[in-house]
Amino acid sequence: MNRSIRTRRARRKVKKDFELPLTSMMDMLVILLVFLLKSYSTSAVAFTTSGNIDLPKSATPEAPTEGMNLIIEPAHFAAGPDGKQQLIPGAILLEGNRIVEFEPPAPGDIVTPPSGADGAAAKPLINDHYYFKPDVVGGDGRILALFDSLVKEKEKAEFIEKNLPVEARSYVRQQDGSLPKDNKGNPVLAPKPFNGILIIHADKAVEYQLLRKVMYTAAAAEFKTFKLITKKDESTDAAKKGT
Amino acid sequence: MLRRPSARRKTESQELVINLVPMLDALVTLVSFLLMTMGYMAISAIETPAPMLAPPDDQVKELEKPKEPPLQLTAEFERDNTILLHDWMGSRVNFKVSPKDDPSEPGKKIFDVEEFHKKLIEVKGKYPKETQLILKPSPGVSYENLVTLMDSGRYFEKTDVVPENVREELAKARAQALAKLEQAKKEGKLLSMAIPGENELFSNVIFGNILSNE
Repeated sequence: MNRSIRTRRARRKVKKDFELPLTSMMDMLVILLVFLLKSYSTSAVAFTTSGNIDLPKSATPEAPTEGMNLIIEPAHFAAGPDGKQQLIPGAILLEGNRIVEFEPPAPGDIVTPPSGADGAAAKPLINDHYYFKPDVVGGDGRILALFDSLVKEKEKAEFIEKNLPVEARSYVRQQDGSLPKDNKGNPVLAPKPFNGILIIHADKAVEYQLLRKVMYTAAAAEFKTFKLITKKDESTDAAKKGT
Repeated sequence: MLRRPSARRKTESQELVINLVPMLDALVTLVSFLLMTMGYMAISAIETPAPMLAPPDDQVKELEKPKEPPLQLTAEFERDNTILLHDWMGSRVNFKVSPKDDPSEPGKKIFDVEEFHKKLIEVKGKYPKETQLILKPSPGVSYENLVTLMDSGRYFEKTDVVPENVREELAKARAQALAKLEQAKKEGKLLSMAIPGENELFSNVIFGNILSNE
């Protein structure tokens, strides 16, 4: 008898002032928010890199800046239109466009590991050598198609800057940082000169031979600075490692 | 006569409940925005300028000529994983860093990055004003090895003992750069220049054999 009265009272109470306990959820969200804000990058430069390249690790603290993106991508397997995996040869991409394609790897350079325990086929491993097709490299060592594309991209960047409305133009500063002024003493608005920065995203297995050809071609196309993109590795103690 | 209000009535006053729902809404929105826009891979960039041909000697102004000829510290990474470290003439700096055994693969030789780094610290101790390192890798050196070697040449490690004269020189260069920036700011000029870091070894890395056909 006693128990039934108590139960009824309790039930009535729950119905009357039931509230979801939000404090613990708030605690969790605040912790999550603090973590996300701490690890959030405030870099103004956003760019995408290819998912098919494995970047080397570096302890360098410098963040990438704006520039033209060049990707050296190794051969890889990707799903074709019919859903089957097909071999995509390695290539040099400039601003997302495939400019130069390498020779596809020889059958001996593709190793298919045995299927896993669940019967699923493992991803084939490719030993890529980045051989150029004939006539891609000129007699002077330039990668001809890449040179043409770099010059075009450079001209495009200059054209865009030149044709910007006056209000959108930036002030051009002299070498000492001062603003050049016209006869009336107003700062001169002029197109920003081409910055000549080439951002190179290369797979860690790429050999210097290829990298040198790319840099030589870019230098010939008036690119003055190269930025080698790497994965940031805070724990790297380069001096303790051997390579 | 009025009766003193009982203590019991006081405790019966209503509990103050903060309305957490709008705050929760804001937090959920903020967390989802941060999760959506977050970059999951931290990326860094190693800057290296393209080598340029120097102007003829007679065109360089007499005033601009340094009193001491530049060191032109050069590191050659050979095909057999040997590193040759020398200056322009090989008279002031001349080291050979032999390859070491790969601990993970017996019989395989790898670059001895640790020894290379030690030699660079030694050179920096002798020439604290030098900031440039010219790299001449052989064609077969992989990009991954190059980045590791560049890393070891560009910065002091946390565990390194930085020579006192190098520490002083770095602090001086830093102070000079900051003073220059401050001066430009006062004059209303916007100057963009790199401030030397406190742990820089040979921060200016240049590939010296891009233009050659070796």
